[in-house]
Amino acid sequence: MDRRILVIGGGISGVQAGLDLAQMGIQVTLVEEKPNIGGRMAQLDKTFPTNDCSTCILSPKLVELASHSNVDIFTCSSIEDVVKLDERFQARIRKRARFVDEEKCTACGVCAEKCPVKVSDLFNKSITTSKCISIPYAQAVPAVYKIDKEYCLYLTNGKCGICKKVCPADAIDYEQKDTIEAMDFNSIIIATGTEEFTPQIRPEYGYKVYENVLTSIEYERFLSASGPTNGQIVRPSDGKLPSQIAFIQCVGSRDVASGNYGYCSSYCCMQATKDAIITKEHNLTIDSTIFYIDIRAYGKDFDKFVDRAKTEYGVKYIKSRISEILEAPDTKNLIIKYITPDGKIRIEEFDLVILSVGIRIPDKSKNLLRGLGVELDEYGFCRCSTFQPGETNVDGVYVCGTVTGPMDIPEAVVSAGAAASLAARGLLSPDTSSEIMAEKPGEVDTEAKPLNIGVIVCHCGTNIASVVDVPSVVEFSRSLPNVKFAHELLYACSQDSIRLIINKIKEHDLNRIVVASCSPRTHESTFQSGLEKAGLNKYLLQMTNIRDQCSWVHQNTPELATQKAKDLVRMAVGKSRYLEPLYELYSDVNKACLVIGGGIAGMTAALFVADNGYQVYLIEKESELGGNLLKISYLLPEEDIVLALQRLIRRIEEHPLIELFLNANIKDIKGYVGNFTTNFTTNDEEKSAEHGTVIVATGAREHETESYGYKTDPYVVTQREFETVLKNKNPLMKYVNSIAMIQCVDSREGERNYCSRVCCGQAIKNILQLKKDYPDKDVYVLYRDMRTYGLREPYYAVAREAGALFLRYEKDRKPVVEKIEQGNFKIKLFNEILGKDIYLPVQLIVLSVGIDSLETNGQVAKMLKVPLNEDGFFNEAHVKLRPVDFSTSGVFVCGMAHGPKHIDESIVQAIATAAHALTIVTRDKISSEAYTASVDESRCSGCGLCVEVCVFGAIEIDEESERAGVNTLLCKGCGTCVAACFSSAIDLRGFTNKQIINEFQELFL
Amino acid sequence: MLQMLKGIKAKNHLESIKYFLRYLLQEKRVDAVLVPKRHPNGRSVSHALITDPLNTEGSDPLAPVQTVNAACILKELTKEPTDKKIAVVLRPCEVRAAIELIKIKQVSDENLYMIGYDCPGVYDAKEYMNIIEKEEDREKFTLKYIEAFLSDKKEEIRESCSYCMYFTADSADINMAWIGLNSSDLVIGVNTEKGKKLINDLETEEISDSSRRKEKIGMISTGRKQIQKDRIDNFLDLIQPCIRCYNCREVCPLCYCKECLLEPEKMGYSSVRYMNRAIKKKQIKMPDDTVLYHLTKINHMGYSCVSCGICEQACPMDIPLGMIYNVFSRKIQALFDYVPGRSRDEELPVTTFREEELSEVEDIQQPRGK
Repeated sequence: MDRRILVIGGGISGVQAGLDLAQMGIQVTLVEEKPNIGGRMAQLDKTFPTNDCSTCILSPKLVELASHSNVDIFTCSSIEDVVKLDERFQARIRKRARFVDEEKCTACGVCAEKCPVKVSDLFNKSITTSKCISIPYAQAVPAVYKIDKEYCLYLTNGKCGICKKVCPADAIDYEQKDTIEAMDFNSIIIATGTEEFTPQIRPEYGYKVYENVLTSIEYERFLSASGPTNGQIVRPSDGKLPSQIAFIQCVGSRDVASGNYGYCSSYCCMQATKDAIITKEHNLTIDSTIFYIDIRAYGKDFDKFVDRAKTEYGVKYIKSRISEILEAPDTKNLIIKYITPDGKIRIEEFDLVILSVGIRIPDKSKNLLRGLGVELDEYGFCRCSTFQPGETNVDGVYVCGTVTGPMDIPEAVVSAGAAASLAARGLLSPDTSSEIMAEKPGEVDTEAKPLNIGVIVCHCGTNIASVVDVPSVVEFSRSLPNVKFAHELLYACSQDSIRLIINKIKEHDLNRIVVASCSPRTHESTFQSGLEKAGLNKYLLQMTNIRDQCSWVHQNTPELATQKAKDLVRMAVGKSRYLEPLYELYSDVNKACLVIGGGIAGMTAALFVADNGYQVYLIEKESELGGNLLKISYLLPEEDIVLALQRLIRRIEEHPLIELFLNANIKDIKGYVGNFTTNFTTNDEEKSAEHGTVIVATGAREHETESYGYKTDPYVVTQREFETVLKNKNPLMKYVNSIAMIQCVDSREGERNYCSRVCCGQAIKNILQLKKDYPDKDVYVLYRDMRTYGLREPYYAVAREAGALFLRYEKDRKPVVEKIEQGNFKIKLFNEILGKDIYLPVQLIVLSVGIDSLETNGQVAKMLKVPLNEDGFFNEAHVKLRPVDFSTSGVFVCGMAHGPKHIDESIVQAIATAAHALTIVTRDKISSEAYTASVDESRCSGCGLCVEVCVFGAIEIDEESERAGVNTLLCKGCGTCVAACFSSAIDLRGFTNKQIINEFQELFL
Repeated sequence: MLQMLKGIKAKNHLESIKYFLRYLLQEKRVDAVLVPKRHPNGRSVSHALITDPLNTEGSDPLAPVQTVNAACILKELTKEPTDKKIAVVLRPCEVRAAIELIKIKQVSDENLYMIGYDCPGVYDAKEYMNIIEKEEDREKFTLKYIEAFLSDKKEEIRESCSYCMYFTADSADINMAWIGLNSSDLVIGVNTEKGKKLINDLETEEISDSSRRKEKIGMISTGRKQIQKDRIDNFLDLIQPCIRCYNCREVCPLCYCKECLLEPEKMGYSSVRYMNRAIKKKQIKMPDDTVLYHLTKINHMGYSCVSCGICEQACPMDIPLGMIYNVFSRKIQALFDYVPGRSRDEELPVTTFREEELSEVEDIQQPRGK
């Protein structure tokens, strides 16, 4: 049966959904409207809170997706229509003409160099121009050029045709037409994303009127080293370096004045913070000021990032909504008038203003969604219910990424994993293995044979040959010892070139191949498959880059470049003499999954794995399932939480593939991906389980406070307790007329310097419930920043309308509670605008105490060899792109074990971990890398330095022999251990000391 | 906190140390004691692993000579697990080297009791042997030496001892203290739980006033600090005599590799290579790579180097290796705020990543990465 899923949208969420499905063995068709995949993330410079380069972390994903055998990517494509037939969807995909043959184009760039037509560069937000035939950026996937038919001289009036003439690959095809292809799909994932708010709607900000007002995404391009200014920060008006930059938050977010934008766009506070930090890193003389309403640094380690911006980078944060920007006509500086928190009016001049623009659903996507029958909310988002994130009202149609609401990159990645898991339901089973091992032709035994090295030197069109004297490099190669064959090729990567290489290997009995061309990143696999077809082990290939690191960077000194190319070839030949055949190891996979924790996250993950036909062992330390959810009564938006929880628990208990262990304690977990053994006790009975993957869903708990008289006065309660008071219509409410809620209790400072993320929403939820049941009671909320991010923001507005009074306090001027008598308090609070203390008489105090990590996390972390952050929550493999994985393969994390989060966020993460667990258990065997470390036991002193430095937990010291041993299946071949070992007792296959030393010896001969 | 063992009055510092060792064996607190001991006819002092209490006579840990860094002996003694308990009497630099070796699993202290002592420094071993030949009573010589040390009479001690800042064994299980204390008292500092267990039922009395000791130690430290060098200007000239005999590596307690990659055969050098290099560089020094050898050795063990100076004593070409390694390794250790052997809990810099460290080598103006 053909199992194929349609993914619409090639941004990070679509890409991730596609990858997850492909790795489960499901066929994926990904449709992207633009000529390349990657979406908005490709336009970003860095990513918060680690300041990783966005392109650097995104590109590998794009390449992986594009080269996956289960994936077909349709770029320049859109959905014509979709019809549902017998539980399957038939979609017609329109592929617009590119006028460049995707198969033939090698992205050499000659066409763009010669093209006479300049057009505005949309990827760089039209800050600069590109040619009419172009590729948006160097690492674009697919790396194929495209002609803009609106402006092409040949396509508009039949003149020019230069690109066709100069294209060395004969890839230009002016006759290309739009095509429409109809395909059948089991399900559909919609990941069409959002567009940025157009600030012209807010004329008072002068966007596109004042030259020095930019949007945040435009500014990202300025910061980017590959952007229009090569990473130089300049003012558009005069090209000068700015010294004062203002960021204005919430432009097109939390903004009902300029349209239907009542929601918060979630990521802009952090983006502005990141950009302000990066600005300082670019140039110490530039100061940044961020004008904000609330700083919404609600994510993991986000508050610490903002703290660093303030203390280390001197970024100024001013709480003020900006109503107008004026331009000084002579200097083109921008004048901002604002009201300071203490009520004074100030006027300040800036050289550059960045508008932090929000996001919205484009009309085109709304039409697509509505065409499929998907219901949208008032803003056009496909809002999902708390307990069914990722699901729409249409069976078989799933959503992920910002189409479901504003979110940052890791949340989009998580939601993509969840959508993949949802879409794959019913398509997997333990009986059908996804791993189809390609038949390889018998490999020639090269061990006993004399070295016969073949050298291929590539022209790369004119990329290399216009600078490097290729024929002389070939001539030189022939003179090197052991080189039996040397040859030049126009494009070594083209199909006929590969055929030639295969023939020459056979003809000359070659057993080492050196290719001098581009980076292994682009074409190593192309050449490797050539070697395989010729019967050689594919690791007998050695590439050397005479393009990126030679011809491209030495254009003005061709003779020296040629000399360098020769040196590079000699080094590659030197290394190739010591190349050895390498093999991946295969290991059987145990198809069961262990889920630790029976809260909402653990239960959800367990169900999704089990529903796909795989055995689950669910371990809960308490005597019942449910975790924190047992103590929650209301939800926003309203849903019956008790019913939902009961259903979930019943499904777990009745599921034939879920074995549930209550009152359970894990004693140890041994093994590695595909082969774990866990010993535990359940009701004091010793048990053991074998499984292939582990999902950590241990949860977290409410913080225990002693602040503000909690524990000594029954009229001081937590938000959770207040929820119960409301639910039980507790008689104490009779004596209460006014209530104070204090936010951020013991949070965002000192030892708990993180935001618990849920408390602001919790307060709003309780206020709405209170106002529903007791409309006359007063409520004050004493807060530092209201963090009702994303689609929670509109409820904040409702709470204000219902009469709740929100009063801000600063970290170092906390409210002071004076107890007059039991149930009667006077709260002293400094009011900035009045410049003096105000007093609030209240009868009940509700504390937002936030969430603590569990003390037991440390033990679990140690057993699984995974890390915790300084707040005791589990640390994922990568904050942006691997938010539910650990560096240790086969172990995943979801729910509050990872950090505080709302119920729907825990669920979506849980479903995503199920997807990732499924990518492993759907395979019969898992393979190791070929490039792995190995220990020479005779040299190993057992000092354990390698164990300490291995982030993958792949090395252990054998207790018997006291020598280090590498678990090849866990080793990722990073080489850190090799560098750490003083005794040179560890070598990395494919990069052995011997190989590298000989490579260098050639250089220093 | 220093404690005085009650009821013991010894003739001198050496006597009280000997008394304590004999006591440990007699009371079967330990199965053996490892201690430097004089030999009736020998010229030097060598370590003895003693099991009979009577054989502790002649023990002379204070003798101003260090023939080997005793941490090397511990590697041998604990290669395989044994159930025999050994009290090892160590100089402070030996204690620190041993702790570094424990961290890298080359020494197991499961059954070891490290007994350190205030170290008065040593002569170069050959010099000591020349002197001692002329002395009639060698124990007296040791006591004379201690006397001179305490009365600040300048003695020609080994250069690496002359600027040693760690001459009290504060990280040993037990430290036998005598600097600035009454010579008739047996005073010990108990630094670990293990040390406490070893003397648990001995009657002790806390020493309330150790100001004389503190003053003395402060004075010595200040003097030594001034002698310490902070930079080497003629490194290549100093290294020039090196014949790459590997003596410095053989005696170094921190060089623990089973096979040293700095030997030419490990590098896979061919004979042709030497010729090729000579052609390219017009001439090369033979044996070659002596600079590479020392720089790599520093790079490998610099963070753990305890500056015992045993390498300098072992060098047949009289290269001031002790000084060279001291200057380099102090700089490395300062970078990581690391003192080798200060504490068993201090993690090795090479295996620890701290986000904030080494920020001084980052340039905030340079955009990082791409």
